[in-house]
Amino acid sequence: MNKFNELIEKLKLEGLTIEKEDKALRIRVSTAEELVNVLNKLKMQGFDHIKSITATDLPDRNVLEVSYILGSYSHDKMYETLMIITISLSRDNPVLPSISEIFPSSVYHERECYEMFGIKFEGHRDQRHLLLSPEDFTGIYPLRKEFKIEEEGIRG
Amino acid sequence: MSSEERAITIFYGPQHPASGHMRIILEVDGDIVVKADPDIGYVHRGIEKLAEYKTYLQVIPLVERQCLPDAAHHNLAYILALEEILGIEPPERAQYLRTLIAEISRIASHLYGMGLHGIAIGSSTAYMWCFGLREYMLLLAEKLTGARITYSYIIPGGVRRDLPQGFSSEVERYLKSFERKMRDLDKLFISNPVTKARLEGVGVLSKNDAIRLGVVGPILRASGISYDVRKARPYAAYQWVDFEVATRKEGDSYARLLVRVKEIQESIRIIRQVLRDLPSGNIFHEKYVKMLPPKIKSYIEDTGRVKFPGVFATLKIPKGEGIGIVEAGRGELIYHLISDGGSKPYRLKISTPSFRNLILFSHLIKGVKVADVPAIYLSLDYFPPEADR
Repeated sequence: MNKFNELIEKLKLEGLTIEKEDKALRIRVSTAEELVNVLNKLKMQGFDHIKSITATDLPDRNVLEVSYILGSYSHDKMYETLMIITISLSRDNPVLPSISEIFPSSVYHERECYEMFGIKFEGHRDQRHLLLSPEDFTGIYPLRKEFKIEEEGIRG
Repeated sequence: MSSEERAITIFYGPQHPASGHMRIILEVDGDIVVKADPDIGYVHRGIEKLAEYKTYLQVIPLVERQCLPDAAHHNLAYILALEEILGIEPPERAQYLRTLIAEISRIASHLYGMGLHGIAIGSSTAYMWCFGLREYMLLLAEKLTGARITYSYIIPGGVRRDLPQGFSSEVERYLKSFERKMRDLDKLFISNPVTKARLEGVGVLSKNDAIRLGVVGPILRASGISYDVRKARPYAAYQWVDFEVATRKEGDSYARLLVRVKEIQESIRIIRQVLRDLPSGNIFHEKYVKMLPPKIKSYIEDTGRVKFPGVFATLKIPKGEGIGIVEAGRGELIYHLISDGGSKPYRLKISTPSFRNLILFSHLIKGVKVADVPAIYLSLDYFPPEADR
Protein backbone atom coordinates (compact mmCIF):
# COMPACT_ATOMS: atom_id res chain seq x y z
CA MET A 1 0.00 0.00 0.00
CA ASN A 2 1.46 3.28 -1.06
CA LYS A 3 -1.33 5.51 0.06
CA PHE A 4 0.17 6.22 3.47
CA ASN A 5 3.61 7.10 2.11
CA GLU A 6 3.12 10.84 1.94
CA LEU A 7 2.01 10.94 5.54
CA ILE A 8 4.85 8.69 6.64
CA GLU A 9 7.40 10.99 5.00
CA LYS A 10 5.89 13.94 6.81
CA LEU A 11 6.02 12.18 10.13
CA LYS A 12 9.58 11.04 9.54
CA LEU A 13 10.58 14.67 9.22
CA GLU A 14 9.22 15.09 12.73
CA GLY A 15 11.65 12.44 13.88
CA LEU A 16 9.13 9.63 14.39
CA THR A 17 9.77 5.98 13.56
CA ILE A 18 6.74 4.50 11.86
CA GLU A 19 6.01 0.84 11.35
CA LYS A 20 3.69 0.07 8.50
CA GLU A 21 1.15 -2.68 9.04
CA ASP A 22 -1.62 -4.12 6.91
CA LYS A 23 -4.25 -1.60 7.76
CA ALA A 24 -2.59 0.81 10.13
CA LEU A 25 0.53 2.70 11.06
CA ARG A 26 2.19 2.06 14.36
CA ILE A 27 4.61 3.97 16.54
CA ARG A 28 6.21 2.26 19.52
CA VAL A 29 7.28 4.44 22.40
CA SER A 30 9.00 3.48 25.62
CA THR A 31 8.61 6.34 28.08
CA ALA A 32 5.75 8.55 29.21
CA GLU A 33 7.54 11.71 28.05
CA GLU A 34 7.98 10.21 24.62
CA LEU A 35 4.30 9.29 24.52
CA VAL A 36 3.16 12.84 25.24
CA ASN A 37 5.71 14.18 22.80
CA VAL A 38 4.57 11.86 20.00
CA LEU A 39 0.89 12.56 20.65
CA ASN A 40 1.52 16.30 20.53
CA LYS A 41 3.35 15.94 17.22
CA LEU A 42 0.57 13.79 15.78
CA LYS A 43 -1.98 16.34 16.84
CA MET A 44 -0.07 18.98 14.91
CA GLN A 45 -0.20 16.68 11.87
CA GLY A 46 -3.98 16.49 11.98
CA PHE A 47 -4.82 13.51 14.16
CA ASP A 48 -7.58 14.90 16.30
CA HIS A 49 -9.34 12.18 18.24
CA ILE A 50 -8.84 8.92 20.11
CA LYS A 51 -10.81 6.00 18.75
CA SER A 52 -9.89 3.47 21.36
CA ILE A 53 -7.43 2.67 24.11
CA THR A 54 -6.64 -1.04 24.31
CA ALA A 55 -4.67 -2.43 27.20
CA THR A 56 -3.43 -6.01 27.16
CA ASP A 57 -2.12 -7.90 30.15
CA LEU A 58 1.03 -9.93 29.46
CA PRO A 59 1.95 -11.55 32.80
CA ASP A 60 4.73 -13.67 31.24
CA ARG A 61 6.75 -10.54 30.57
CA ASN A 62 5.29 -8.73 33.59
CA VAL A 63 4.05 -6.08 31.23
CA LEU A 64 0.87 -4.20 30.40
CA GLU A 65 0.78 -3.12 26.80
CA VAL A 66 -1.35 -0.09 25.99
CA SER A 67 -2.33 0.84 22.44
CA TYR A 68 -3.90 4.17 21.58
CA ILE A 69 -5.78 4.22 18.28
CA LEU A 70 -5.93 7.67 16.72
CA GLY A 71 -7.76 9.02 13.72
CA SER A 72 -8.54 12.25 11.98
CA TYR A 73 -11.85 13.94 11.23
CA SER A 74 -10.56 17.33 10.17
CA HIS A 75 -8.71 16.19 7.03
CA ASP A 76 -10.69 14.01 4.68
CA LYS A 77 -7.51 12.66 3.10
CA MET A 78 -6.59 11.14 6.44
CA TYR A 79 -9.97 9.50 7.08
CA GLU A 80 -8.61 6.08 6.21
CA THR A 81 -5.47 6.35 8.33
CA LEU A 82 -5.33 4.53 11.61
CA MET A 83 -2.45 5.46 13.86
CA ILE A 84 -1.61 3.15 16.72
CA ILE A 85 0.74 4.21 19.50
CA THR A 86 1.95 1.35 21.66
CA ILE A 87 3.66 1.58 25.02
CA SER A 88 4.67 -1.12 27.50
CA LEU A 89 4.35 -0.59 31.23
CA SER A 90 5.43 -2.56 34.26
CA ARG A 91 2.52 -4.47 35.78
CA ASP A 92 3.55 -3.63 39.32
CA ASN A 93 2.97 0.08 39.29
CA PRO A 94 1.49 1.10 35.95
CA VAL A 95 1.28 4.87 35.58
CA LEU A 96 0.67 6.90 32.45
CA PRO A 97 0.14 10.61 31.96
CA SER A 98 -3.47 11.42 31.18
CA ILE A 99 -3.81 12.70 27.64
CA SER A 100 -7.27 14.15 28.20
CA GLU A 101 -5.82 17.65 27.91
CA ILE A 102 -4.43 16.90 24.44
CA PHE A 103 -7.33 14.70 23.30
CA PRO A 104 -10.53 15.31 25.31
CA SER A 105 -12.03 12.30 23.52
CA SER A 106 -9.88 10.02 25.70
CA VAL A 107 -11.62 10.86 28.98
CA TYR A 108 -13.90 7.84 29.22
CA HIS A 109 -11.45 5.45 27.59
CA GLU A 110 -8.92 6.29 30.31
CA ARG A 111 -11.47 5.86 33.06
CA GLU A 112 -12.36 2.42 31.73
CA CYS A 113 -8.72 1.45 31.38
CA TYR A 114 -8.06 2.49 34.96
CA GLU A 115 -10.78 0.38 36.50
CA MET A 116 -10.21 -2.65 34.30
CA PHE A 117 -6.39 -2.78 34.47
CA GLY A 118 -5.39 -0.51 37.33
CA ILE A 119 -3.43 1.83 35.13
CA LYS A 120 -3.27 5.21 36.83
CA PHE A 121 -3.66 8.17 34.54
CA GLU A 122 -1.92 11.07 36.21
CA GLY A 123 -3.71 14.37 35.84
CA HIS A 124 -7.08 12.86 34.92
CA ARG A 125 -9.74 15.06 36.43
CA ASP A 126 -12.16 12.22 37.16
CA GLN A 127 -10.82 9.05 38.78
CA ARG A 128 -14.15 7.48 39.77
CA HIS A 129 -15.23 4.04 38.68
CA LEU A 130 -17.23 4.05 35.48
CA LEU A 131 -18.68 0.62 34.75
CA LEU A 132 -17.95 -1.39 37.89
CA SER A 133 -19.23 -0.79 41.36
CA PRO A 134 -16.57 0.68 43.66
CA GLU A 135 -17.81 -1.49 46.58
CA ASP A 136 -16.90 -4.73 44.86
CA PHE A 137 -14.02 -3.80 42.62
CA THR A 138 -11.74 -1.39 44.46
CA GLY A 139 -8.23 -2.73 43.96
CA ILE A 140 -9.49 -5.61 41.80
CA TYR A 141 -8.82 -5.27 38.10
CA PRO A 142 -10.99 -7.75 36.23
CA LEU A 143 -9.38 -7.63 32.81
CA ARG A 144 -6.00 -8.65 34.19
CA LYS A 145 -5.22 -12.30 33.68
CA GLU A 146 -5.10 -13.21 37.37
CA PHE A 147 -8.80 -12.42 37.65
CA LYS A 148 -10.59 -15.67 36.84
CA ILE A 149 -14.27 -16.02 36.08
CA GLU A 150 -15.88 -18.50 38.41
CA GLU A 151 -18.22 -20.78 36.56
CA GLU A 152 -21.05 -22.52 38.30
CA GLY A 153 -21.15 -25.52 36.02
CA ILE A 154 -24.21 -27.58 35.29
CA ARG A 155 -25.60 -29.59 38.18
CA GLY A 156 -27.64 -32.74 37.96
CA MET B 1 -27.40 32.96 46.22
CA SER B 2 -25.33 31.94 43.24
CA SER B 3 -26.74 29.53 40.74
CA GLU B 4 -24.52 26.73 42.06
CA GLU B 5 -25.78 27.18 45.60
CA ARG B 6 -29.38 27.19 44.42
CA ALA B 7 -28.92 24.07 42.29
CA ILE B 8 -30.62 20.88 43.36
CA THR B 9 -29.67 17.38 42.22
CA ILE B 10 -32.07 15.23 40.24
CA PHE B 11 -31.45 11.59 39.45
CA TYR B 12 -32.68 11.05 35.92
CA GLY B 13 -33.03 7.29 35.62
CA PRO B 14 -31.84 4.51 35.88
CA GLN B 15 -35.35 3.03 35.77
CA HIS B 16 -35.65 3.20 32.01
CA PRO B 17 -35.92 6.95 31.39
CA ALA B 18 -36.58 6.03 27.79
CA SER B 19 -34.35 3.54 26.11
CA GLY B 20 -32.26 1.84 28.67
CA HIS B 21 -30.45 1.43 31.88
CA MET B 22 -28.35 4.38 32.80
CA ARG B 23 -28.85 7.51 34.78
CA ILE B 24 -27.93 11.11 34.33
CA ILE B 25 -27.26 13.04 37.50
CA LEU B 26 -28.60 16.51 36.79
CA GLU B 27 -27.95 19.67 38.74
CA VAL B 28 -30.82 22.01 38.07
CA ASP B 29 -31.33 25.65 38.88
CA GLY B 30 -35.04 26.24 38.47
CA ASP B 31 -35.81 24.86 35.05
CA ILE B 32 -32.25 25.04 33.72
CA VAL B 33 -29.76 22.18 33.87
CA VAL B 34 -26.46 23.48 35.21
CA LYS B 35 -24.52 20.24 34.97
CA ALA B 36 -25.11 16.70 33.79
CA ASP B 37 -23.07 13.68 34.75
CA PRO B 38 -23.84 10.34 33.09
CA ASP B 39 -23.63 7.32 35.35
CA ILE B 40 -23.38 4.10 33.39
CA GLY B 41 -22.50 0.49 34.04
CA TYR B 42 -25.93 -0.82 35.05
CA VAL B 43 -25.87 -3.40 32.28
CA HIS B 44 -22.17 -4.19 32.27
CA ARG B 45 -21.74 -7.90 31.58
CA GLY B 46 -17.99 -8.12 31.10
CA ILE B 47 -18.21 -9.18 27.48
CA GLU B 48 -14.52 -8.50 26.87
CA LYS B 49 -13.59 -10.81 29.73
CA LEU B 50 -16.14 -13.48 28.80
CA ALA B 51 -14.73 -13.53 25.27
CA GLU B 52 -11.40 -14.72 26.69
CA TYR B 53 -13.20 -17.79 28.02
CA LYS B 54 -14.93 -18.81 24.79
CA THR B 55 -13.72 -20.30 21.54
CA TYR B 56 -13.58 -18.06 18.51
CA LEU B 57 -16.91 -19.30 17.19
CA GLN B 58 -18.67 -19.02 20.54
CA VAL B 59 -17.70 -15.37 20.65
CA ILE B 60 -19.97 -14.60 17.66
CA PRO B 61 -23.29 -14.93 19.52
CA LEU B 62 -21.68 -13.35 22.58
CA VAL B 63 -20.70 -10.10 20.89
CA GLU B 64 -24.05 -9.83 19.13
CA ARG B 65 -25.78 -9.59 22.46
CA GLN B 66 -24.26 -6.24 23.21
CA CYS B 67 -26.48 -4.41 20.81
CA LEU B 68 -29.65 -6.18 19.82
CA PRO B 69 -31.04 -3.47 17.52
CA ASP B 70 -27.89 -3.68 15.41
CA ALA B 71 -26.45 -7.16 15.95
CA ALA B 72 -25.23 -7.69 12.38
CA HIS B 73 -22.59 -4.98 12.66
CA HIS B 74 -21.09 -6.40 15.83
CA ASN B 75 -21.02 -9.77 14.14
CA LEU B 76 -19.34 -8.28 11.07
CA ALA B 77 -16.72 -6.22 12.88
CA TYR B 78 -15.65 -9.19 14.96
CA ILE B 79 -15.35 -11.42 11.89
CA LEU B 80 -13.35 -8.75 10.03
CA ALA B 81 -10.84 -8.64 12.88
CA LEU B 82 -10.68 -12.44 12.94
CA GLU B 83 -10.24 -12.69 9.18
CA GLU B 84 -7.40 -10.19 9.28
CA ILE B 85 -5.48 -12.57 11.53
CA LEU B 86 -6.50 -15.63 9.50
CA GLY B 87 -5.49 -13.83 6.32
CA ILE B 88 -8.55 -14.85 4.31
CA GLU B 89 -10.91 -12.86 2.11
CA PRO B 90 -14.41 -14.22 1.67
CA PRO B 91 -15.72 -14.73 -1.88
CA GLU B 92 -17.45 -11.82 -3.59
CA ARG B 93 -20.94 -13.22 -3.24
CA ALA B 94 -20.49 -13.48 0.50
CA GLN B 95 -19.23 -9.89 0.59
CA TYR B 96 -22.43 -8.72 -1.08
CA LEU B 97 -24.59 -10.75 1.28
CA ARG B 98 -22.73 -9.24 4.23
CA THR B 99 -23.54 -5.79 2.91
CA LEU B 100 -27.17 -6.80 2.50
CA ILE B 101 -27.62 -7.93 6.10
CA ALA B 102 -25.63 -4.94 7.37
CA GLU B 103 -27.93 -2.49 5.59
CA ILE B 104 -31.08 -4.29 6.75
CA SER B 105 -29.69 -4.04 10.26
CA ARG B 106 -28.84 -0.36 9.85
CA ILE B 107 -32.39 0.53 8.77
CA ALA B 108 -33.83 -1.43 11.69
CA SER B 109 -31.43 0.26 14.08
CA HIS B 110 -32.23 3.77 12.85
CA LEU B 111 -35.96 3.14 13.08
CA TYR B 112 -35.52 1.84 16.61
CA GLY B 113 -33.72 5.03 17.57
CA MET B 114 -36.19 7.28 15.79
CA GLY B 115 -39.15 5.55 17.41
CA LEU B 116 -37.79 6.10 20.88
CA HIS B 117 -36.87 9.65 20.00
CA GLY B 118 -40.47 10.18 18.94
CA ILE B 119 -41.96 8.94 22.18
CA ALA B 120 -39.47 11.01 24.17
CA ILE B 121 -40.91 14.19 22.71
CA GLY B 122 -44.48 13.00 23.14
CA SER B 123 -45.28 11.46 19.78
CA SER B 124 -46.42 7.93 20.51
CA THR B 125 -47.62 7.72 16.90
CA ALA B 126 -44.01 7.98 15.72
CA TYR B 127 -43.04 5.23 18.10
CA MET B 128 -45.70 2.87 16.73
CA TRP B 129 -44.94 3.71 13.13
CA CYS B 130 -41.19 3.36 13.45
CA PHE B 131 -41.47 0.03 15.21
CA GLY B 132 -44.01 -1.12 12.65
CA LEU B 133 -41.66 -0.18 9.85
CA ARG B 134 -38.76 -1.85 11.64
CA GLU B 135 -40.79 -5.04 11.50
CA TYR B 136 -40.36 -5.10 7.70
CA MET B 137 -36.63 -5.31 8.15
CA LEU B 138 -36.86 -7.94 10.86
CA LEU B 139 -39.03 -10.08 8.59
CA LEU B 140 -36.58 -9.73 5.71
CA ALA B 141 -33.71 -10.63 8.01
CA GLU B 142 -35.66 -13.63 9.23
CA LYS B 143 -36.22 -14.85 5.69
CA LEU B 144 -32.54 -14.40 4.90
CA THR B 145 -30.92 -15.73 8.05
CA GLY B 146 -33.58 -17.59 9.99
CA ALA B 147 -33.45 -15.21 12.94
CA ARG B 148 -35.13 -11.88 13.61
CA ILE B 149 -32.53 -10.10 15.68
CA THR B 150 -29.40 -12.07 16.53
CA TYR B 151 -28.53 -13.52 13.16
CA SER B 152 -25.03 -14.95 13.70
CA TYR B 153 -25.12 -14.80 9.93
CA ILE B 154 -21.54 -13.82 9.24
CA ILE B 155 -18.92 -16.50 9.85
CA PRO B 156 -15.18 -16.57 9.19
CA GLY B 157 -14.75 -16.98 5.44
CA GLY B 158 -18.26 -16.15 4.35
CA VAL B 159 -21.89 -16.19 5.40
CA ARG B 160 -24.06 -18.91 6.83
CA ARG B 161 -26.84 -19.06 4.23
CA ASP B 162 -27.35 -18.24 0.62
CA LEU B 163 -30.18 -16.06 -0.65
CA PRO B 164 -33.50 -17.91 -0.33
CA GLN B 165 -35.51 -18.54 -3.48
CA GLY B 166 -37.59 -15.63 -4.66
CA PHE B 167 -35.99 -13.34 -2.09
CA SER B 168 -35.23 -10.50 -4.51
CA SER B 169 -38.80 -10.05 -5.69
CA GLU B 170 -40.03 -10.27 -2.13
CA VAL B 171 -37.58 -7.57 -1.02
CA GLU B 172 -38.79 -5.32 -3.82
CA ARG B 173 -42.39 -5.83 -2.67
CA TYR B 174 -41.42 -5.01 0.92
CA LEU B 175 -39.35 -1.99 -0.07
CA LYS B 176 -42.15 -0.47 -2.18
CA SER B 177 -44.55 -0.67 0.71
CA PHE B 178 -41.83 0.49 3.10
CA GLU B 179 -41.11 3.59 1.03
CA ARG B 180 -44.79 4.43 0.81
CA LYS B 181 -45.12 4.24 4.57
CA MET B 182 -41.92 6.24 5.06
CA ARG B 183 -43.60 9.08 3.16
CA ASP B 184 -46.50 8.88 5.59
CA LEU B 185 -44.09 8.84 8.51
CA ASP B 186 -42.52 11.95 7.06
CA LYS B 187 -45.88 13.78 7.16
CA LEU B 188 -46.79 12.41 10.57
CA PHE B 189 -43.54 12.89 12.41
CA ILE B 190 -40.44 14.02 10.58
CA SER B 191 -41.81 17.17 8.91
CA ASN B 192 -44.40 17.71 11.59
CA PRO B 193 -44.23 21.29 12.95
CA VAL B 194 -44.41 19.96 16.51
CA THR B 195 -41.34 17.79 15.95
CA LYS B 196 -39.50 20.73 14.44
CA ALA B 197 -40.46 22.96 17.33
CA ARG B 198 -39.15 20.45 19.85
CA LEU B 199 -35.91 19.59 18.07
CA GLU B 200 -34.67 22.50 15.99
CA GLY B 201 -31.84 24.36 17.66
CA VAL B 202 -31.87 21.97 20.62
CA GLY B 203 -28.64 20.28 21.66
CA VAL B 204 -26.43 21.92 19.06
CA LEU B 205 -23.04 20.29 18.56
CA SER B 206 -20.60 22.45 16.64
CA LYS B 207 -18.24 20.98 14.07
CA ASN B 208 -15.20 21.76 16.18
CA ASP B 209 -16.64 20.12 19.25
CA ALA B 210 -17.64 17.06 17.25
CA ILE B 211 -14.04 16.66 16.15
CA ARG B 212 -12.57 17.43 19.55
CA LEU B 213 -14.83 15.00 21.41
CA GLY B 214 -14.31 12.25 18.83
CA VAL B 215 -18.00 11.45 18.40
CA VAL B 216 -19.17 9.00 15.76
CA GLY B 217 -21.97 8.10 13.41
CA PRO B 218 -25.01 10.17 12.46
CA ILE B 219 -24.17 12.66 15.24
CA LEU B 220 -20.81 13.40 13.64
CA ARG B 221 -22.33 13.68 10.19
CA ALA B 222 -25.12 15.95 11.45
CA SER B 223 -22.37 18.35 12.55
CA GLY B 224 -20.99 18.61 9.04
CA ILE B 225 -18.25 15.99 8.89
CA SER B 226 -18.65 13.45 6.12
CA TYR B 227 -16.74 10.67 7.85
CA ASP B 228 -18.24 7.27 7.09
CA VAL B 229 -16.21 4.08 7.50
CA ARG B 230 -18.00 2.58 4.51
CA LYS B 231 -16.33 5.23 2.33
CA ALA B 232 -13.14 5.81 4.32
CA ARG B 233 -12.06 2.20 4.69
CA PRO B 234 -14.43 0.12 2.54
CA TYR B 235 -15.17 -3.38 3.76
CA ALA B 236 -17.62 -6.06 2.52
CA ALA B 237 -19.07 -4.85 -0.80
CA TYR B 238 -19.14 -1.09 -0.15
CA GLN B 239 -16.42 -0.40 -2.71
CA TRP B 240 -18.71 -1.73 -5.44
CA VAL B 241 -21.96 -0.02 -4.53
CA ASP B 242 -22.88 3.58 -5.01
CA PHE B 243 -24.25 5.66 -2.16
CA GLU B 244 -24.04 9.10 -0.65
CA VAL B 245 -22.86 10.01 2.83
CA ALA B 246 -25.67 11.94 4.49
CA THR B 247 -24.47 15.11 6.18
CA ARG B 248 -26.07 18.22 7.64
CA LYS B 249 -24.53 21.42 8.90
CA GLU B 250 -26.87 22.39 11.74
CA GLY B 251 -25.67 19.91 14.36
CA ASP B 252 -28.92 20.04 16.34
CA SER B 253 -31.24 17.22 17.38
CA TYR B 254 -33.35 17.71 14.27
CA ALA B 255 -30.32 17.42 11.99
CA ARG B 256 -29.43 14.12 13.63
CA LEU B 257 -32.94 12.87 12.92
CA LEU B 258 -32.72 13.99 9.28
CA VAL B 259 -29.35 12.31 8.81
CA ARG B 260 -30.86 9.03 9.99
CA VAL B 261 -33.79 9.42 7.59
CA LYS B 262 -31.44 10.10 4.71
CA GLU B 263 -29.30 7.11 5.65
CA ILE B 264 -32.35 4.87 5.57
CA GLN B 265 -33.00 6.03 1.99
CA GLU B 266 -29.39 5.39 1.04
CA SER B 267 -29.52 1.95 2.65
CA ILE B 268 -32.53 1.09 0.53
CA ARG B 269 -30.53 2.15 -2.53
CA ILE B 270 -27.68 -0.12 -1.45
CA ILE B 271 -30.01 -3.07 -0.87
CA ARG B 272 -31.43 -2.67 -4.40
CA GLN B 273 -27.93 -2.52 -5.89
CA VAL B 274 -26.80 -5.56 -3.94
CA LEU B 275 -29.71 -7.62 -5.22
CA ARG B 276 -29.17 -6.37 -8.77
CA ASP B 277 -25.39 -6.95 -8.89
CA LEU B 278 -25.11 -10.02 -6.69
CA PRO B 279 -22.45 -12.20 -8.34
CA SER B 280 -22.84 -15.96 -8.44
CA GLY B 281 -20.40 -18.29 -6.75
CA ASN B 282 -19.53 -19.60 -3.36
CA ILE B 283 -20.76 -18.08 -0.13
CA PHE B 284 -17.97 -19.70 1.84
CA HIS B 285 -14.21 -19.52 1.46
CA GLU B 286 -12.73 -22.26 -0.74
CA LYS B 287 -10.14 -23.16 1.83
CA TYR B 288 -12.87 -24.24 4.22
CA VAL B 289 -15.09 -25.80 1.57
CA LYS B 290 -12.22 -28.17 0.77
CA MET B 291 -12.08 -29.33 4.37
CA LEU B 292 -15.69 -30.41 4.37
CA PRO B 293 -16.71 -34.05 4.17
CA PRO B 294 -18.50 -34.83 0.86
CA LYS B 295 -21.86 -35.29 2.57
CA ILE B 296 -21.90 -31.78 4.04
CA LYS B 297 -20.51 -30.38 0.82
CA SER B 298 -23.46 -31.68 -1.17
CA TYR B 299 -25.82 -30.49 1.58
CA ILE B 300 -24.48 -26.96 1.16
CA GLU B 301 -24.83 -27.14 -2.61
CA ASP B 302 -28.40 -28.45 -2.41
CA THR B 303 -29.74 -26.14 0.28
CA GLY B 304 -27.44 -23.12 0.16
CA ARG B 305 -26.94 -23.41 3.90
CA VAL B 306 -23.52 -23.72 5.47
CA LYS B 307 -23.25 -26.03 8.42
CA PHE B 308 -20.33 -25.22 10.63
CA PRO B 309 -17.57 -27.59 9.57
CA GLY B 310 -16.03 -29.66 12.34
CA VAL B 311 -12.71 -27.87 11.96
CA PHE B 312 -14.33 -24.73 13.27
CA ALA B 313 -15.12 -26.18 16.66
CA THR B 314 -11.45 -26.14 17.55
CA LEU B 315 -10.41 -23.39 15.18
CA LYS B 316 -6.93 -22.29 16.15
CA ILE B 317 -5.89 -19.04 14.69
CA PRO B 318 -2.30 -17.88 14.30
CA LYS B 319 -0.63 -15.47 16.64
CA GLY B 320 -1.39 -11.93 15.66
CA GLU B 321 -3.46 -8.82 15.95
CA GLY B 322 -6.52 -7.86 13.95
CA ILE B 323 -8.60 -4.71 13.82
CA GLY B 324 -12.13 -4.79 12.43
CA ILE B 325 -13.80 -1.46 11.79
CA VAL B 326 -17.31 -1.02 10.45
CA GLU B 327 -19.83 1.77 10.25
CA ALA B 328 -22.56 0.44 12.53
CA GLY B 329 -25.96 2.11 12.79
CA ARG B 330 -24.77 4.25 15.68
CA GLY B 331 -21.35 4.92 14.20
CA GLU B 332 -17.84 3.63 13.93
CA LEU B 333 -17.40 0.32 15.71
CA ILE B 334 -13.93 -1.09 16.39
CA TYR B 335 -12.95 -4.62 17.34
CA HIS B 336 -9.34 -5.03 18.38
CA LEU B 337 -8.55 -8.73 18.61
CA ILE B 338 -5.28 -10.14 19.91
CA SER B 339 -4.50 -13.82 19.48
CA ASP B 340 -1.76 -15.84 21.15
CA GLY B 341 -2.21 -18.82 18.85
CA GLY B 342 -4.71 -20.64 21.06
CA SER B 343 -8.32 -21.58 20.51
CA LYS B 344 -9.67 -18.62 22.48
CA PRO B 345 -9.07 -14.88 22.04
CA TYR B 346 -6.25 -13.60 24.22
CA ARG B 347 -7.80 -10.16 24.36
CA LEU B 348 -10.79 -8.61 22.66
CA LYS B 349 -11.24 -4.89 22.97
CA ILE B 350 -14.48 -3.43 21.72
CA SER B 351 -14.79 0.30 21.19
CA THR B 352 -18.48 0.87 20.65
CA PRO B 353 -20.12 3.96 19.17
CA SER B 354 -22.39 4.45 22.19
CA PHE B 355 -19.38 4.47 24.50
CA ARG B 356 -17.64 7.06 22.37
CA ASN B 357 -20.74 9.25 22.26
CA LEU B 358 -21.13 9.09 26.03
CA ILE B 359 -18.98 12.19 26.34
CA LEU B 360 -21.80 14.20 24.76
CA PHE B 361 -24.10 13.91 27.76
CA SER B 362 -22.09 16.28 29.91
CA HIS B 363 -21.31 18.45 26.90
CA LEU B 364 -24.77 18.89 25.34
CA ILE B 365 -26.97 18.76 28.43
CA LYS B 366 -25.79 22.01 29.92
CA GLY B 367 -27.72 25.25 30.09
CA VAL B 368 -30.81 23.62 28.62
CA LYS B 369 -34.32 23.25 29.97
CA VAL B 370 -35.15 20.06 31.83
CA ALA B 371 -37.87 19.40 29.25
CA ASP B 372 -35.22 19.34 26.53
CA VAL B 373 -33.18 16.60 28.21
CA PRO B 374 -35.15 13.73 26.63
CA ALA B 375 -35.12 15.45 23.23
CA ILE B 376 -31.32 15.65 23.35
CA TYR B 377 -30.70 12.34 25.08
CA LEU B 378 -32.65 10.30 22.54
CA SER B 379 -31.33 12.22 19.56
CA LEU B 380 -27.98 10.63 20.46
CA ASP B 381 -29.46 7.15 19.90
CA TYR B 382 -27.46 6.04 22.91
CA PHE B 383 -27.85 2.35 23.66
CA PRO B 384 -26.68 1.53 27.23
CA PRO B 385 -25.99 -2.22 26.80
CA GLU B 386 -23.70 -1.37 23.90
CA ALA B 387 -21.80 1.24 25.88
CA ASP B 388 -21.48 -0.90 29.02
CA ARG B 389 -20.59 -4.11 27.19
